[in-house]
Amino acid sequence: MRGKLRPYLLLGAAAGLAVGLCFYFAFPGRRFPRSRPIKVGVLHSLSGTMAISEQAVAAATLMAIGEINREDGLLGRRIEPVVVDGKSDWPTFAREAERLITQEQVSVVFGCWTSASRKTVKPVFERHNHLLFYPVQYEGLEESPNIVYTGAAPNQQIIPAVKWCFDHLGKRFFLVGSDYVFPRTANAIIREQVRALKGEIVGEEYLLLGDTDAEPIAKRIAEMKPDVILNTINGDSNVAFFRALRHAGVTSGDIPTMSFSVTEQELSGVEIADMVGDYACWNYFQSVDTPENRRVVRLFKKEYGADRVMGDPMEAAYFGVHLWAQAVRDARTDDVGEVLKAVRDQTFRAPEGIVCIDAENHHTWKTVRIGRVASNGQFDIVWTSEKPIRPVPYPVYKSRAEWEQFLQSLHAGWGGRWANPGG
Amino acid sequence: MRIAVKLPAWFLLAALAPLVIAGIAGALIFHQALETEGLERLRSLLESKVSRIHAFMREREGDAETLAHSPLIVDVMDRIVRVYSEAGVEASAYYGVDDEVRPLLTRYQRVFGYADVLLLSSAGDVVFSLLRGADFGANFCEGELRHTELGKAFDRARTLQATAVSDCEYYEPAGEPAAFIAAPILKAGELVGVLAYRLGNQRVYDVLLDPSGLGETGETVVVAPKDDRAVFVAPTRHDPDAAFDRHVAFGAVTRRPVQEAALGTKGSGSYVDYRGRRVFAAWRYSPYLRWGIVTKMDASELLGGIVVFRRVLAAVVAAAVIVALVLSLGLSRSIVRPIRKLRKGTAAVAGGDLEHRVGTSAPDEIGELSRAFDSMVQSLKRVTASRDELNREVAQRARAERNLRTAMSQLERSNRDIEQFAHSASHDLQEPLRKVITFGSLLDSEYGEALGSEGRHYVSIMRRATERMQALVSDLFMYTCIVTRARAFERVDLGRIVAEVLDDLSSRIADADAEIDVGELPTIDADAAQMQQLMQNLIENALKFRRENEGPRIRVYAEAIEADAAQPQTGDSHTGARCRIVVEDNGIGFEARHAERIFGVFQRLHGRHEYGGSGIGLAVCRRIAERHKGTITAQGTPGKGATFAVCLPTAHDEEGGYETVERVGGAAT
Repeated sequence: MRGKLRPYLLLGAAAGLAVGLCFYFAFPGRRFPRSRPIKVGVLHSLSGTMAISEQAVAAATLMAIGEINREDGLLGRRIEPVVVDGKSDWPTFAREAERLITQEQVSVVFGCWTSASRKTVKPVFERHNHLLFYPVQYEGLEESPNIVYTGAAPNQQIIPAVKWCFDHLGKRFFLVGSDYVFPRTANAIIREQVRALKGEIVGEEYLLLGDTDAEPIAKRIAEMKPDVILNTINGDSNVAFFRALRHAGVTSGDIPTMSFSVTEQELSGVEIADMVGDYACWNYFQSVDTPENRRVVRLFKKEYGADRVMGDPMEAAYFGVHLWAQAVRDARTDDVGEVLKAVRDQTFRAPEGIVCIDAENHHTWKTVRIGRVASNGQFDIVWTSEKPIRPVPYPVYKSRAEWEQFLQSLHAGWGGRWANPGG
Repeated sequence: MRIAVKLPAWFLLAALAPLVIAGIAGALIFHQALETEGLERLRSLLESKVSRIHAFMREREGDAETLAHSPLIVDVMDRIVRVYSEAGVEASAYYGVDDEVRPLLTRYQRVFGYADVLLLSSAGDVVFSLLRGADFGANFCEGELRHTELGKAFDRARTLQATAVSDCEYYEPAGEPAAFIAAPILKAGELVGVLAYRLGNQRVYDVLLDPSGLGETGETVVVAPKDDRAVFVAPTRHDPDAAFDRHVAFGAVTRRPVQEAALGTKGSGSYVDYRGRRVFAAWRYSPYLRWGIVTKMDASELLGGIVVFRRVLAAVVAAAVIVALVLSLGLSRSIVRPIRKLRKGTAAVAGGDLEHRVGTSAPDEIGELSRAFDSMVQSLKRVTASRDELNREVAQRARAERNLRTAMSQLERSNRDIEQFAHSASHDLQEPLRKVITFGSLLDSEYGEALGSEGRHYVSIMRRATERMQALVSDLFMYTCIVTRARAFERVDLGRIVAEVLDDLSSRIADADAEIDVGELPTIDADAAQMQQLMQNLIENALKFRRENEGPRIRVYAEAIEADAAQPQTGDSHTGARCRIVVEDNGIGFEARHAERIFGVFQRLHGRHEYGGSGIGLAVCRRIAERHKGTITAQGTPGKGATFAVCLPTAHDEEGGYETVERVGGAAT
């Protein structure tokens, strides 16, 4: 029996070998496609002054990744997030970005909040021709082929908000902000716009990032009595600022504040009664009434707790992951170069409505919304653009060259940094 | 199954199986490729259409923005608002301003194909219209018109301070679908008004409905989300009346692409369209007009290649079947024919036809087999031929042997008959002879006188002749008796026998003054009487044929003979120990040529008168020797003497001699 079987065994082995070789040559690229996950970087401040905002954004990013992994992953591969802490420190961001790209060899990085961190990592991504999804509204004046901006450009937040305030709240503005590139630039734009609208800026004050001593500013606002406060303070300084403001006797009824970096997430850290009646301009509020939003909010609360809230950058981070995944599916590869090509013109039914990446400037078509804080910590939407607005990163008030020159002077003034180091 | 069937069957299977597998795989792959390629084509068509629309819209946007920033418009806007609010549209002052911008705007309208160009004041009043339609003079900032697309675009342009594009909607004042592009007119940063273009559908439709690349059945469907449904906003190729008429409710199970496109999802695939046909489609969302755009093609057209492929495949398979069949039949014939020939050859050879040859020159294994068969038949034939010869020879010999045996037995019988006859005759003749002699004697004695001398002489001659005859007959009887009156063998001491013979012959020995030297003689199995007879005859002979002048000298002695050297010339089967008894004399001897003759019955070398005796003595000796399975030979030289040597077996393991006695004896009675 053994003697008879052996030739067959040999024949079978030879046939098996032949078939194996056929497959080996037929599918050279993907011999073990499922064994290798797609690594993605998640780069946010999980500690430091920005942690209050960025932790939630990281959570929303991971939620989207988990959602995709539950639906059989991408190209049949699992997405493996590599979460790193930027520690609210911009050199750390750059270092971690470099490490994610060169050592972890991630296919994409989702991350950053502050423009200071983004501007620090931007050269890293451009040097490696890599890809960053940036989920936060910002001051604009930037276009990188290696960054996809899923947050608002100035014309999708700042400019409509200022114009809306001008039309509905008054013409005297007081500007407060954190002392880094975004508030400085945003206020530069606002100044141009207010000038164009023939309004008046009665004061402009800055707090260092993480600074909680807002009393002098509050006092000054109480003295100046502007019609509207335009607030571009970032991080937990907001809590100190609003506390100081109310302490100085300024209420939302007298002088409403229009905030550009305060979401439901930041509201959960303050006494909500103090905030009712203030405004924020975003592309997304948790109260947006779309089926997609209801689903995502439900999912988020299920994963992170019923008391958690969604804010605009979280939503932008969430759909950023999905836009990237769509681009990977279209490109049929996670190769950065191919994804960069495929990411243009991607559209996605996001919680805020349909979003679309502009093929020309890598920013996102977004609907503009203005909300007023309600007593439940949510926003009542008081104005909407009704349809997605084409992103224009360079506001029309100055030429692109002029804007860039402005940025350079800021950068140089802070000693080659993107935030005022203080002291 | 026969090879003639099996081979084509396997051949067909071997030829068809890979072909069919490859064909099916090919069809699947081709189907897949057609699908992929078709979808890819639809996607790229869609992308090109969308980018054409986007480019078109961007151009219009840029165009509006440029125009809104032109000093003429900024300047005119300021004045026209003032004139409009102060004097109304019928005033000559208004016409003056109107005339300033109308030629420029008309040119714009004509060159870029706008349906209408409008100027709105910052308060939302339409203060200028090229067409002066129903919307001229109306306010789009308040009231119902605020919710028209122009009203929304105006609001956005004003609030965002940037050019705004409206959706495409049915526009009541114009009585047709329209989209607007609104650009803020800023004077020193301050909003003084809004420039609005009303876009006719024709330009966009031209792009959308361009069927190039969509084959016979392809079309582009454009939908916009409205409340709970996706509304077709442009005619389709197959339904020119679809615009703002056809719609698909969101959540409907069918026509997913239309819904998905309208809701901002990108995709491609196959579905059943509004005509109930299976189509392939690519769809995506365009943010400019918030349109979902679907490019699609009937599956039947897109996959048309597969039908051709199937036909070609069927033809190839059919051709392959025929070719495989022809080839395999040829092959099987080429294999089966020589095998059949070989089989026929086998049957022929089996039937005995050794001349049959398959005879092939084919170089393959069957050819080799045939040639091997032929050479096998060749050698079979050779073997058969020599066997036949052998058989013939064997048969011949057998026949000869049979004949010989028959002749021998006849001879034996006649010999026995003669012997019997001789025995009987010699026995029976004795009595009459005795009577003749008796009565001859009586005649001589009683009637001698009367007969006279002459008569008595005659009678004496007669009596002598008769007595000789009696002696001859007696000798003959005795000779025949050697066989017929034989006795059983026993241990016989030849020395004693010779002694007795010498004793009997003592007087004659004395007479002849013979010198007899007897050596030591052995004891053997023999017939004692016959041995006595033998020795007596030989010694008597030696005494008788002595020379005249010399006394006989006789030596009797024995020589042992090596068993294995037993006289091979006799052909005797007896291989036991033998002895030779020699009787040597110095008598007259004889010529060597007579050495055999002397053993014949009644043979004599000398006249009766010279030496007496009937001439039967040596014949008796030979006969006795032969009866004892022995031999007797003689050697002699005339005048010098003779030597007789008797070779006898010393022992007879079986009573052979006795048997002979029985047999011969039996025959004698």
